[in-house]
Amino acid sequence: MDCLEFRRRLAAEPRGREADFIAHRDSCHAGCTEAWWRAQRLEKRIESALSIETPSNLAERIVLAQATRTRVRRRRAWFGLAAAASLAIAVGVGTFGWQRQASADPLPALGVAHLHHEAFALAMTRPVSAADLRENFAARGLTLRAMPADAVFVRDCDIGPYRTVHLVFRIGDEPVTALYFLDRKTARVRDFKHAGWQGREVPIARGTLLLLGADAHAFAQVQRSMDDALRAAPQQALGEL
Amino acid sequence: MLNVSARQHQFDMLVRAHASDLYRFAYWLCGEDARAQDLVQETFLRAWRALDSLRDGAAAKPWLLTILRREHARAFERKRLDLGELDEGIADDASGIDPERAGSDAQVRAAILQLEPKYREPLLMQVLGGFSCEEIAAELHCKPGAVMTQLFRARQKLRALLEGDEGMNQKEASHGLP
Repeated sequence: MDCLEFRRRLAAEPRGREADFIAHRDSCHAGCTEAWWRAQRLEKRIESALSIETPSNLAERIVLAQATRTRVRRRRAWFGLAAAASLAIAVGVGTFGWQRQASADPLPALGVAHLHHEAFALAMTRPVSAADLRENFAARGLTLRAMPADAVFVRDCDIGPYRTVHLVFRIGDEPVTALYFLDRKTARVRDFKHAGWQGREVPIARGTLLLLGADAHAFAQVQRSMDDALRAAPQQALGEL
Repeated sequence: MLNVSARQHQFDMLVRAHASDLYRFAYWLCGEDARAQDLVQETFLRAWRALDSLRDGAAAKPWLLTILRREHARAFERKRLDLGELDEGIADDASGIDPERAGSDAQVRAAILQLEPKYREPLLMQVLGGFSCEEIAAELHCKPGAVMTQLFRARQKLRALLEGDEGMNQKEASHGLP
């Protein structure tokens, strides 16, 4: 390799490691070694300048967008079938009133906001251990009667004014978020929609279970699992905590 | 075909491994934070739909960058920003950077943004994307020699902008040498 070829290659691929390129750098006495060092300094400046800061939570927002987009596509397919039946229209009109009422309730809004805040949890796929489940519920003063099956995420979270345990279940290919609000009583089971999410409120023991998902088909399974785990869950004595 | 959990896990790993690199590439391609974020998000959504076609995990980054470039060409090519507008935003974007580096970085950023897209894009593909000249040539549908010339000129122009034409070694400049 001659000096001209070396300099051309240097300007095109300054980080090149080809043997003939490196050999010329190390053996040339016509200034190619110095040119190589100048090129490395320029390259370092370019790399530094291009390394701008990444927006915070970018990865979490992308995972949430993927989960939401998948959910919307599936819901559209479901609506396509439903539209074939005129009965669906009547049901839709009939439920309009309570959906509006539900949207004003603070729990769905708080739950959906928290779900967005911890969107990464929706992408979890590995089952959490019984020890993790016990530990996070114990942090809220609760002892589980049974281990909820299919949980892939658990964390004790504060949501608004409420102390909660945040779980995600993976039922088939869909994540279902379960937020257990301690000391927040609900009179009855009710379904709602909020910000595109299907939801359900369930009174269990001394709190309210809030379920959020793409659709409600997996809610019954999660509801049973949480009910088994929490129904009449004894509050731990303070000495145990 | 991957089962859903494995697929979701693979996607999650891809996002966490490459979102930052893709954002930087998108930012320097389109020159605007909000557009870059949209571009990265759309890229990953397309990647999710085509995830089964990714056979080799080591090829994930160039695969994602290819999707991003195509998405950019499709969505934003008609909205290329005026470079004069870009300079102001970039010059102020020194957050999170060592103060000693900030002045130098701002200078280089301004110079990079003065490069014509035909020089800037292969430079970004090489420096941020890790593409070889052959890979860039395949992406841009041109010959490797042409890519080498573009990269050569991109750095030559950057050097000239940063050092000033009068500061360049006249002999080297006349031969196009660094």
